[in-house]
Amino acid sequence: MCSIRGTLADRIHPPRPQVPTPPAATQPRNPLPRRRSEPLPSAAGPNPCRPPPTTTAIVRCHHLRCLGYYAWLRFGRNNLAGDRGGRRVVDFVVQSVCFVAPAQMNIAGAEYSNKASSGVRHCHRSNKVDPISAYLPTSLRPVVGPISHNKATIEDAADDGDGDRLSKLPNDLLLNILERVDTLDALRACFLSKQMLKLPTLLSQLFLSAGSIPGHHDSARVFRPSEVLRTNRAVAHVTDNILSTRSPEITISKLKIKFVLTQHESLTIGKSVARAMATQKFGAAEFEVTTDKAYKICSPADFLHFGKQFNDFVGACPDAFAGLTRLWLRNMRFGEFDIPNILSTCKLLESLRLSHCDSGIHSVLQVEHAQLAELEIDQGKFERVELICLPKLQRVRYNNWCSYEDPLYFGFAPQLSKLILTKTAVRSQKTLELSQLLANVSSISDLHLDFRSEKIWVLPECPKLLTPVLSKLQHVNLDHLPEGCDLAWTMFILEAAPSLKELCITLWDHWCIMTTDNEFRKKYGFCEKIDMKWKPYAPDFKHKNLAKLTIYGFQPDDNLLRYIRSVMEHAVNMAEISLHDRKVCVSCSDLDSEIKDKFCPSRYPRTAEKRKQTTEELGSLAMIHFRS
Amino acid sequence: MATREAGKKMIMLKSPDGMEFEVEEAVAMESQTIRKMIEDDCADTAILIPNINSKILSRVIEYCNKHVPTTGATGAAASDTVAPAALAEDLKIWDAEFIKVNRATRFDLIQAASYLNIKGLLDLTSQTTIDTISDNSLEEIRSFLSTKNDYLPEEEQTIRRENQWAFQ
Repeated sequence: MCSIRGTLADRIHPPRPQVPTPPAATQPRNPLPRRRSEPLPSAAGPNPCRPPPTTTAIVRCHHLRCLGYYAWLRFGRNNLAGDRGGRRVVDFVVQSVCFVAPAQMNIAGAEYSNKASSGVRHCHRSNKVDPISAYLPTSLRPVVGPISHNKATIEDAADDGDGDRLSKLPNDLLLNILERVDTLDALRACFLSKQMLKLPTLLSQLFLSAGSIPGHHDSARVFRPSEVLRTNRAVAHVTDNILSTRSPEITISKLKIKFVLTQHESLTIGKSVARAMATQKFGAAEFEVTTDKAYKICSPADFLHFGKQFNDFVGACPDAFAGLTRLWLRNMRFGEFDIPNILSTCKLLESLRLSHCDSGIHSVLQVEHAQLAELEIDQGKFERVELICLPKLQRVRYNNWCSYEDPLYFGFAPQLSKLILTKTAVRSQKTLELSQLLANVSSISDLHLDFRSEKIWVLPECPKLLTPVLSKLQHVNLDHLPEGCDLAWTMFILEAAPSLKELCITLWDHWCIMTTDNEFRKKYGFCEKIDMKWKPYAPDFKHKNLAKLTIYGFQPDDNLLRYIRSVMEHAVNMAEISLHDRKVCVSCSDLDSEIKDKFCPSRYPRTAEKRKQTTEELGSLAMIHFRS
Repeated sequence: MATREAGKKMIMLKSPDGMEFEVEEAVAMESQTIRKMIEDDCADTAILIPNINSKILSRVIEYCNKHVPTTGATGAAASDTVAPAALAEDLKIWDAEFIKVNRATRFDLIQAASYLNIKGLLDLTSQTTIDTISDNSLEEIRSFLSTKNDYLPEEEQTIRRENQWAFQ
């Protein structure tokens, strides 16, 4: 059994038989500072004429801390015992002990000691000996009573197990539970009882969404626009309410508001966030702005209207935007300088996402920002997005550009490490030359190319051109490659990227994202499947770093077996090859039977015998893993 | 007592109602609280877990047993043929079954997970609780959790008036 030794044991000698004064009545909120400053009853010292000095010491008791407890002990210093062997020894009498249990302290993973003041519990005097007291010297035991929050665990389980247990949980655990859902849902739960009603003011994470309509968890329910707008009003109301009534000393670690761009509600939200930013501490703050019309039913005039409306909103609440760290906009067409203006207003912005936004058809967007780390663009009619000067940029995702030229220009982006490009390409689409596209960036370590089951729009270039831009590349993901085509061309990545560690390939004719109408395919220039032409640059090169190959949509056909053998041949340090069956998509199963007939059933080896046969054909038993 | 059994270090956990549980050190270290204690070298004897009774403690140990990362000699064989994704899926199913307990037990598990600092268990128990809250209407939640309606009628009126959106 552990016992108090080390620092504490050294100081508590000799144990005094006197019973220390129990602490004053419990003050659950912030009791520690008060306790530090309050005068201590003076302890009896050896010199009755001069009252001995008293002091409060806070001792982190090593062994108690191991159990997650910190002990705060109040000492009355009663005797300067003089030098003992050259060491100055002070005798203390422990006047009171209180424990800080981790359950009260560990608010959302915060360090115990930081939150100590909110969680101190006094120990009551009691005849029962708390288990913790077994860790204390006998002289201390009488002052240590059961820790008050114990009761909830041990005793209630026996008596009213089905009673009102939710509101009996300590606040930090309730908050931990409530912060897992969006704030409107959390508030609905808080209206359950008076005790819980005060919790919303203590929340440190707020996620308000116009999509949080009562019943939104039922995926079958379809919502009317009027319901969304009504919830949008609630979001504005609650944002205003909660931000103006919450405890300002609790930092808002994360605020996310998803709302529909309407004049009145947007202004309410903008103004109250701006006010809160001026008076309270903020971690991350995010706006996700959507419009009352979905992209599909928006006319060109609508896009322009939403763009203007958003500009006005930024103009009306610049202070709110100045503190934002993330922004996601939808369905807006801006003027030439609007997006750069918005970016210069949002000084702290770390992440920008634009979905169906642009600054006019075939427009060029120039981006400069000191803090931006992440840029995502979905659709939009930009001719080109020029990343002029983005010193902190790390991650870029561009989904379906409309340009027939290079969709991106990289200027100064020295930290860019992850690039995700997704494109459904047609015949007239320019095939990208990575050596050109990435001419100014050599820092990419993670490259994800998604071909949406259509034309391959990247040119397999020779290593002489490519190695300078791909020298740091470690992970490559080639997604939605047409099934049945030769994969030999992908070897250009191995040839050009000596640091490559992991290659993941997904073969998938994904019908529900493809255009299947033949007339339509012809009219818009969709390509038929063809093998990509490619000739190895150095047929017997060796790759030293590639250790992992993953293939989804594996079929034991000659094409694929030849490819895997070829990768194994070149990658001399290959450690693991994982083969998965075709990926499964729920919506694909709802397709017409006509399309379904085109599907050949998967020939993925399922039985041990077939797997053995496949591995033998590949010639390597140890590193092949069948994962489906 | 900490003993060695087949090369594995064992730790004794004691509940306040006198039950003792001998578990592998790796299993006990799923709890960050106990891990700290072991790392600080004060776990040479039995560890007393105050305020968690034997019934709950045994459930917690069951959880830790399942969630201890499978590494080393025994783990390698198990994970060789099964993909990590499949293992994760298996754990998820196991979790779903594990958390099918009455709500009193669930609330005890929440507190135990918080006290012993076992993030996975705290996430599981808290998420399950909030799922039941967010999937139901206010009255349903109230009856489900047997949360007492402690409002005076006029107080409830005010709450409803000021927060109409929540009661639609």
